[in-house]
Amino acid sequence: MPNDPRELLPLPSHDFQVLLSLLAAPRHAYGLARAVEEQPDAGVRLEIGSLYRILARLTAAGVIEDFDPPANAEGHEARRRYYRITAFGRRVAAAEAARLDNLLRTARRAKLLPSRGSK
Amino acid sequence: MIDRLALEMIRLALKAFPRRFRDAYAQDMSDFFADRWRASSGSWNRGALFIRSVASLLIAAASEQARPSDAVARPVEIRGPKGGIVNSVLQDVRFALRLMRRQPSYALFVVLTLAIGIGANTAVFSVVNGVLLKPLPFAESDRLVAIWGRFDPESGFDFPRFVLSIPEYLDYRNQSRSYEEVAAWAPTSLTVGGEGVEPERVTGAAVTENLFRLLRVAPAFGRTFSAEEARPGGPPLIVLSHAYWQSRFGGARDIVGRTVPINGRTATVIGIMPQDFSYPGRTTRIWTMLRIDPANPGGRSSHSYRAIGRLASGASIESARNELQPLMASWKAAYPDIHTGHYLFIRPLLEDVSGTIKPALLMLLGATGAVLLIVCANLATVIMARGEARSREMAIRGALGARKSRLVRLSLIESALLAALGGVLGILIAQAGVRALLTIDPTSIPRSSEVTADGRMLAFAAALSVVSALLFGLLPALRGSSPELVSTLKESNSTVSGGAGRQWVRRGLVAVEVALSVVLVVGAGLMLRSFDRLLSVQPGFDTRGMLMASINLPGVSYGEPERVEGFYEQLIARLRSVPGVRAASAGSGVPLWSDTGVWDFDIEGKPRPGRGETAWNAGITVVRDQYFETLGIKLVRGRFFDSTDRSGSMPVAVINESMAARFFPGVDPIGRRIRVSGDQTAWMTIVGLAADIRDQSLDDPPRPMYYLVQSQTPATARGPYSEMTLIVRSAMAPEALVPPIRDIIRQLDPKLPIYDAQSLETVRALSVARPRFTTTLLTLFAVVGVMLGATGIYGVLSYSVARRTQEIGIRRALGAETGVLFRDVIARGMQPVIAGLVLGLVACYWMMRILENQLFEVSTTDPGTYAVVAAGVILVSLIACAVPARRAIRVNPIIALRAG
Repeated sequence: MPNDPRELLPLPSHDFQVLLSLLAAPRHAYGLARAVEEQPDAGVRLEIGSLYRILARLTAAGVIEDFDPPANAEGHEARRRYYRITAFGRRVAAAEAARLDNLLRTARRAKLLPSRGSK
Repeated sequence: MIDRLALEMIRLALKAFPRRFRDAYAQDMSDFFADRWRASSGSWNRGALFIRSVASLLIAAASEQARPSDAVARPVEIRGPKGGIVNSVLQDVRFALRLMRRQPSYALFVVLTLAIGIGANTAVFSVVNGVLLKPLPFAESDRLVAIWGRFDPESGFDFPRFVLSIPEYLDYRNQSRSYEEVAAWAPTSLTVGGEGVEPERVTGAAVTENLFRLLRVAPAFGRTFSAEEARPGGPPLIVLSHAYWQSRFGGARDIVGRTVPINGRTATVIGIMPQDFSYPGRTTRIWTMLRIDPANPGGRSSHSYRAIGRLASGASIESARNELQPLMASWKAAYPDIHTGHYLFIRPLLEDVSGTIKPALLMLLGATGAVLLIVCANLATVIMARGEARSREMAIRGALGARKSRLVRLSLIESALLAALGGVLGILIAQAGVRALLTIDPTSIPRSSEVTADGRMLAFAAALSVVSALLFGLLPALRGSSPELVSTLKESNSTVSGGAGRQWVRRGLVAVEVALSVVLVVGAGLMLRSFDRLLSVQPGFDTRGMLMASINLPGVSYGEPERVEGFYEQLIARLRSVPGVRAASAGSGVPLWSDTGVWDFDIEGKPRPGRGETAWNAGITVVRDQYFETLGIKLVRGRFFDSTDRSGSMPVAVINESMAARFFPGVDPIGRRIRVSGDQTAWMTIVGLAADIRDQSLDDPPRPMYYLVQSQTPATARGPYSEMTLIVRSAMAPEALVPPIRDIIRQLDPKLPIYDAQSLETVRALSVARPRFTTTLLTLFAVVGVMLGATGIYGVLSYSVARRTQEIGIRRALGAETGVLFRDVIARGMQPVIAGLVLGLVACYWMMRILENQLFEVSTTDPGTYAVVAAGVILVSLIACAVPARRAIRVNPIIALRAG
């Protein structure tokens, strides 16, 4: 398991989306897919196969971890796996965000985007 | 049911993942899919979800299989130099292609079989899609509803669907709150031309001014009708269809604003509709304005208008139905004479347009589905057999360190490649098939112009390929992927054909194929028998050598009854003198083609039926003398009309046997008097009894009918009949008479067009176009199904016989008689066939109920059909078994023993 978040960068964009939505709250897979799809401008749809591959990959890398459902869950809600981001995962997400920020700054300098503060 | 099936398929696809992954996530993943399934609605969305999920799972599974697992120590895998998932998959693809090249006949067989299954399904699906699924070509077409009337028996009539009257339309439009717009229309036909231009009869529609607004269709150019112009008495205005504008007016833009002679008057062209607009019908060429005078809207019982509505935002078809109920109760209270047992109902417009063909299309889709299942069962047996033949190769690969998952993947990639090739070829077959389908039957399929190859059709074909690859690929892959190394390598020396388990699966697949074929063939057999009955129906009149042609005299120049009578008298007299013509007459309609109406009548000396009793009414046809003789309708008693029955003479009528039986039971109707209901109509003496004919369709039983004399209609039916259909019997080909008839009419009145000129044989063939269509297709699918089934039986048996060569050789060497051996091989081959046959026949007994409404005078459990099918299936299977059995017993024992 890597200790340096930078080893995982650049993060595939779907993985990053998953991390972002887990930052907001722990979720199960279906809730996660809904949350990612409902993000404005996300423009992604997580199909079942790729979603679970991402979850398996991120779990193996120690970026997220699964845990037992909350005590008040019922029916097949109680059978589900819930996922939350680990402390290491937060560092990975932050490192990826910083990397993207750098990238954007370069893009601004290349006049692809209006620079900050200007209209 | 479908829900469960989808979930099961997903679970099956999950099996393609490595065990480690499956243990961790499979349960959660199937729950995930179930959630998505519940969250999506509509079969289209769910189908798309299913396909996306399966595709995504297969891709993910292949990727996981290729990923080196770091948890388990395993033998070193021999990889290509570059490694990596893409490369290793490409390597597998290349390997699979190499295998195909090495055994092209095998690959060709699989691809062709698959292409037939996918092609047939895709072709029928394209028709289903264009006719049933695709929204109508109007904006927000799901808000469009058709408004109909219904007569329950309580009303004295029994019409489950009937047109409306203008007062009913106005009341509903004004009283209902559910609609943005309600429009009415009626079909018309118009005479275009005259005055030096060849006159022509064209189909049109008289529509209320809001119809185009309701459908949200704008003209290609010009304009459509406006509300101000809707007042009665305005100048005639017309809108042209794009096709008619092109064909008749050469696509000249300056036609807008010009006048065109129509029905002896002039009408101004105000607009041209877009090319793809064809409401109410494909043949509508001209729209005229249906002008309604609210002060004088016509009788509440003058039903001849169709109505459609666009639901307001906030209203739904359910809410409109809920609103309709109290409304109809208030109508009944206000007009008890009319609205007892007679009320309005609504349904989606799409259902209205395509409703009648729906059962036939769904049946065909079911049939092609069965063909596809046979295809998959067939391929599964073939691939399993091949997999076993390759089991040594696999075992050796395993022994050399190839991972199991890699072997599964290889086998899946092979199936996927074959399925993809089959799918592509299937799409080509489907495109040709759709064209052929529409040529078989261009007229009786509604919306057939909207049947095209589109994205949905491609998606459907792709989905079928994925599903069939799963069906025929996964099972053998899973079975073949667990090679018990030692035993497989040893087994190559054994004499039995595969393990007992595999035998069982293969024989089960044969049984399934046979059962499906039986269902297909019984269905086709029933349809064929029914169609045969339909064709051999004696309609009660003779269609041979008969020509029909219709004429309508415009009221402008033929206002007086004498002019109408004079015209037809001269016309018929001249027709009879044309060389080769044996008989000629005219009537307000001809059987199997025209709808001449149902009219109430009174019987002299009997009180009219009261409310709640069955009204006295019967089909009516207005005819000239010699009508019956020309058509070959038989006289039962009394006399037919002759030239002495004229406008001044005693009014007379002829009735048919059904009318006599229903309204004059036990009495002689001849000499009794009837009249068309009303106070101004004259009593007619019944002078003859005609034999029944099937005038509406060949499969509807004859109905009560009465016949009136054309020249007497001013007295007996409230006005002269000016629209008539000529009937001419001749010794030559009927169509050859069209030019002389045109000449005669031109001499009499150059402004008159004739229309619907065709032979009665054509009319009769058209009347059975739809059953011919479904029967032809179902038979085709059944033949394909049986042929595939037979190759399946043959393939399985050849394979098992080949595996038993050694055993048979030993038995022969030990002195077994060839007859005994032959019977033994045949018996083993026939066991699954008999099981499948029984299964299929039992399934038919339940399933053929769906054919109930399609069959004519044939029971869905017709024992003759079942027996013939059973005998046929046994015969075909015996042949399929006999060929490999013969080969087996001819084997030279020495060679057979050495072969091991």
